Amino acid sequence: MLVEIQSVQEAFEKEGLDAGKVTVTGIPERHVNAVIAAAKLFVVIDHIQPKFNPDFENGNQWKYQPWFRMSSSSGVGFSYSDCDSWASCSGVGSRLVYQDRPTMKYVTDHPEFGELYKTLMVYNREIKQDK
Amino acid sequence: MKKIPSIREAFEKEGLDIDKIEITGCPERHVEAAKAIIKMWVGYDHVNPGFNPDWKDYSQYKYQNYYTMGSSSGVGFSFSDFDNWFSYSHVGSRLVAESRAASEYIGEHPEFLELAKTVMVYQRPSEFGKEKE
Repeated sequence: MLVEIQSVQEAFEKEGLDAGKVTVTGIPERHVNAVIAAAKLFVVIDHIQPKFNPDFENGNQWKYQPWFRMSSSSGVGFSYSDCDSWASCSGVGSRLVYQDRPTMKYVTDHPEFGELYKTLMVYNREIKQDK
Repeated sequence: MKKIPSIREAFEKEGLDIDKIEITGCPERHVEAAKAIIKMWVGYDHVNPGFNPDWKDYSQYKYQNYYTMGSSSGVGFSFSDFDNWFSYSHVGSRLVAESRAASEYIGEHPEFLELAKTVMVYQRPSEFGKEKE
């Protein structure tokens, strides 16, 4: 069953937390916003499909993971593209797979949640020749 | 591709201590996964230091890994295969590799594999679902 959570803050408040107070230290600055976005997505997806536990040993249970058109390196044009359904393999894991296509679309089409995916996925690696 | 001795050393090259990552304000059940995904990103940065995926360049392959998930507790979790893509992704620029060799190196590297397992294996608590009824 899809639970229509309206915002990241709503999901965090259900756990007595404030989405604006997630902090990460001790990591390269270039990954800070992305990991905060990942954490927010994890929580949002928990609340949107609270009863769904993917069972990767059950080949009859489909798990849906979204594809995105990455577009430019700055993220202009980043958009949901399509979904894949899988039985036992994954590229994203249990936190980021969906119980069905409508649930996945609810998240990817939601402006705030879709922006989290963009923050997580768009990245410009600074090329350092001395590495 | 550049082989790295360990992700700890990758952190040290950036003047950071891998044991001192701190995350607050996030539910406890996701903290270790969030730390693991950061470690993977830094690891990918150092294994692919000269590679910045250009999603508008359809001639540039980007390799992303798939894993066999195994049981709900992670028994049997293993590197499965990789796919190459030009302009679409489900993992994003931080987790694509520059070549087949880099993708396989990461997929078969015990430290990377353990991190991927920590990120990807997850049991949504049953009590959690009941709270929502």
